[in-house]
Parts: sequence; C-alpha cells; structure tokens
Amino acid sequence: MSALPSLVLKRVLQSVPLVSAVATLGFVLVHLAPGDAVVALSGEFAHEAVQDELRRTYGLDRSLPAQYLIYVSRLLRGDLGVSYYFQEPVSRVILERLPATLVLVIPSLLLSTVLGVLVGTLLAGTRQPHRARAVIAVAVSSNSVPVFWLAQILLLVFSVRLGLFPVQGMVRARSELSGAALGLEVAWHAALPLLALTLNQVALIAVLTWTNMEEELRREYVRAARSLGLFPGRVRRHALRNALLPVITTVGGRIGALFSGAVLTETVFAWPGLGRLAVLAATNRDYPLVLGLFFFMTLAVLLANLVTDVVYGLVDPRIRTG
Amino acid sequence: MSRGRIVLVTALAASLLTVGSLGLAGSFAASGEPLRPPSPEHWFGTDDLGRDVFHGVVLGAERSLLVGLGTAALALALGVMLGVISGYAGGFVDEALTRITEFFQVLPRFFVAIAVLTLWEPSAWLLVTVLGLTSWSGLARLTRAEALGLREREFVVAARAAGAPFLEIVWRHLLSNLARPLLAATPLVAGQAMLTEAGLSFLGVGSAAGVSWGYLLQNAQPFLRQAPWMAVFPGLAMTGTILLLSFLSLLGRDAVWKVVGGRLR
Repeated sequence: MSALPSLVLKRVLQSVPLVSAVATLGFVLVHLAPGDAVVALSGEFAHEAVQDELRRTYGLDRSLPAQYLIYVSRLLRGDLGVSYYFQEPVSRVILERLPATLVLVIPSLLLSTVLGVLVGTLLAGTRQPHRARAVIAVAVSSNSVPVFWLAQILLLVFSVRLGLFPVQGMVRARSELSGAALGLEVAWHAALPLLALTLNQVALIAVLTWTNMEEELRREYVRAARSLGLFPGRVRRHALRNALLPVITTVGGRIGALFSGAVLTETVFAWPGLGRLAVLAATNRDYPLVLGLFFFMTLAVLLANLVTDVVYGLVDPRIRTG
Repeated sequence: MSRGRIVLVTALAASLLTVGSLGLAGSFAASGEPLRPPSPEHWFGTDDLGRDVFHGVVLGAERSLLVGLGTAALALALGVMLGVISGYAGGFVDEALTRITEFFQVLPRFFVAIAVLTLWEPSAWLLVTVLGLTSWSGLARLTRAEALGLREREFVVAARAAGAPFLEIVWRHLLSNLARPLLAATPLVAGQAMLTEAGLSFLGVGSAAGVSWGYLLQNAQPFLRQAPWMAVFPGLAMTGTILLLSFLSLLGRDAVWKVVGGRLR
C-alpha cells in the first residue's frame, strides 16, 4: 500500500500544468472573443458608470499581463466571477445545482459499470458466437443513439403512454416530504433519466469486459491455474482482475461524456441540475457562468482521472506495491 | 471479400441516398396544418408551425454531415501530422507534443464548444473548428504509436540510409501502414462530432446557425405528448447515420483494408 499515496501525489503534481493551461485557455478565449469584455460582463445596456466600475474591479484598464495575474489570483481563491443572470457568485450557483446532477451521474456510473462487467464476465468463455454478435450489435447501436433522444423515447413510452413514471422534475410540486419518503420520491423521478444514461453506457462496458476476459482466459497463467486443478470460478476471478484494468481506464475516461450526457438528459426531464444551468447560461450569454461551467467540468475530468488512477492502483498489484 | 463488397455498397448507397434526398429538400417553411401526424402528403408529419418534418430531417442531414465530415477531416489532418512528428522525431519534441495531446484529451469537448459558441457568433464552420481542435488527440496517439514502432523497422532504416527524403518515407512507409487503423478510427470521430453537434443544438447553443437534427429534437420537446413524430423521425435519422458510421468502422478494421489495400501506395 505504500506506493499509493506517492502515486496520488505524483498525479496531483502532474495535473498542475494541465490546470494552469486550462485556466490560460479560458483567459485567451475571453480576450480573443469579439466585443468588449466589459459589455460582456455587464450586458449591452449597462450604465456608463457601472461599466467604469467593472473596468476598475476587474482591472481591465491595466496591461494584459497584469490582467492575467489578477485573473489567476482570483481563480486561485475559487472566485469565478459573478453570474449576471443570477447576480450571484458563479461558484455558488454551480455548487447549488451540482448535487442534483451527481444524483444522476454517480448512480448511472456505478450501475452501468457493475451491470456491464457482470454481463461481460458471463459472456466470456461461453463459446456462443450468435449471442456474442448480438451483444456487439446492441453495444454499437446503444452507443450510436443520442442519449437525449433515448430519454425522449423513454419518456414517451413509460411516462406519456404507460403513465408509470412522472414526466418531469425531481419531486412533485407542492410536496412537503422529508427523510425516506423524499428519497423514494426523488428515486421515482430519477428512474427514467438514470435508465437513459445507464443504457447509453452499459453495453460498451459489457463488450469491453467480455473481449478482455476472452483474451485473458487464453493466457498461460490461466492454463497453468486450470492444470493445477483450481476451481473454474477461482480461475475466472484471477482473469477478471486483469481483464478489468482496461475497463477501469475506459470508464474513467468517459466521465466528461457522462456529464454532458447528464446535462442533455436533464433538459428532457426538466431536472433541476447543471443541465438547466447550461441552457440558461448559453441562451442568456452569461459569459462568467459559461466559463465557470467549462472550468468546473475540466476539474471534474481531472479529478475523475485521479480517482481512476487510484482504483487502477488498487486493482493492479504491480502498481500498488511497485 | 464479400464483407468488403458490403462496405462499398453500403457506403455508395448512403452517399447516393444523401445526394438524392438533398434534391428532395423542399423549403422548411409552413406548408400545412400544424401538428399533423404522418400522411402521404407529409411523410414525417408536420411540426407546431405546420412545417414538414421530412424536409427538416433532410435539411438537418446536410448540416449534420457537414459538421461530422468536416470535424473528422480536420481532426485527421491534425492528428496524423502531430502524431507523425511526435513519433518520428522522438526526444524533446515528442515529450512536448505528448503533453499537448494530454491537455486536449482532458478538455471537456462539449463544454468548450458551449463556451466558444456563446462567446463568438455561432456558425457551422466555427463548430467544425472547435470540434476538430478538440477531437484529434486519439488519432494523434494512434499515429504516434505506429510511427514510433515503424521508425526502427528495417525497411524504414533502409529507406533513410538510401537517402529517401523525409516526406517520401512518411508517405510511402508510415501512412500506408497507418491507413488501416485510421480508416477504422475516423468514422467514429465523425459520429462523435455529429452527436456533439446534435447535443449543442438540443440545448439551443448555436442554433442560430440553421436547422439541424438537434434543433428539430429541441423543437419537439414541448410537443412530445401531442406530436411524438416530431421527435421520432429526426432521432431515427440521427441514430441510423451514426450506426452506419460505427459499422463502417467495425467492418473497416479488416474489410475496407482488403478493398483499398493495394491501391493506397
């Protein structure tokens, strides 16, 4: 276990230049964009005095390098500016809506990974080419469907036609629930968005697990373990541990896609998370909020990479001890 | 071989269908009663403004394909160029380019596109540029790995020793060996770009740039109950197109190579 903390430290240090590059990109984007940054911040019809005030507080009357320094020091303090649609700090606006999105992202990540690995493992070594072909076809198709259209179709079938699930929102209007009842209510509302997000991921993970398992089961160590007379289940456990490594990398690498999928799915179900925020930010040209979302997502992806590395290290003993 | 023919026929049929249907595109203006189900007159029904959904789907195809193919072309050009330089040069250049590739790999494409399309005047070309600039890292890694392996192979060393110019080595020895993995990877880049474009239009980002499948699906959202056809048909068109690209990539792993294999050099 001793190598893991140093691995984490190394990865954190490695992401410092990445974070600064992303921050610089944000600065460059704003300054390359057409139009006055002050107009962008205050809206087109702001009073002259307001604009002067903004110019002073943001230091826009200074030289470009000075502006960059101010910008970086603000970022370091976690200050992403003020959303002019909400008239509140961007970081607070984002953090307020984050839990609703995580309620969708984290369960669908866990569900699709567990289900995908389970199906992939069951398929491996069964020697049934027809079933295998069917799974590949399903995997390719499910990855080709736009997740928000899938969400619309699920909504049409299960909510509009069959009336099994609520059409939109996170809780019913004017309901005053708490504790377990509130949890059930949210779960009932989250069922369809979760299903859409999970369906979009699960087949890909299943196929990946399955092909890796097939590869591992053909290796020397598996043959050796079998010839030693180990139980088949035990042999498969050994193989699975190795087969999981590329799966971990892939799942970790899809966090960004999962977030954008969640944002789109939220829009279909009027789920009060980052999705609605992204729509409001874009349609109202709320630049601080748009850039804040961009920073936030980049940090989420970097954090996901870090977690992926740690999980990889926990599964792969070569990294854990070496 | 028969699989190779299937690929060729599918690709040909798809392009013929595309060209043919572009001819079918009427104007996407009100042409009937609003919110009518599919009929012989309006194959895919009409939307809330009485516009023909079929015409919308055809018009959307144009934009979707433009964004998909444009992004794939830009990403392919950037990826192959930087990958070859990185793998062939090695050393400090390779190290620097690898860091840059990593940077582009962690950028959340969807949110970069939201930011750029909000800050600038949205257009299809701006979108192609953004998506192309954020989609090349996978292709570059693929190219780099291949170039790295080929650099030390006898035939490349021999060509270098015989005084072959750099570009000739790249063209004749590197790219001909790369054609196969690239043919499998590029359709996926196009498909991803089309999905991203649809997602952006669905959120209403950059929809000022014209009719797209994502725009049609966004437009369908408030009428899901009354007029499900407004959502069903554009979504089917989208899924079908990306499915085609995905299978092209799957088959491309071996079949495309057999068909075009000998002729690339």
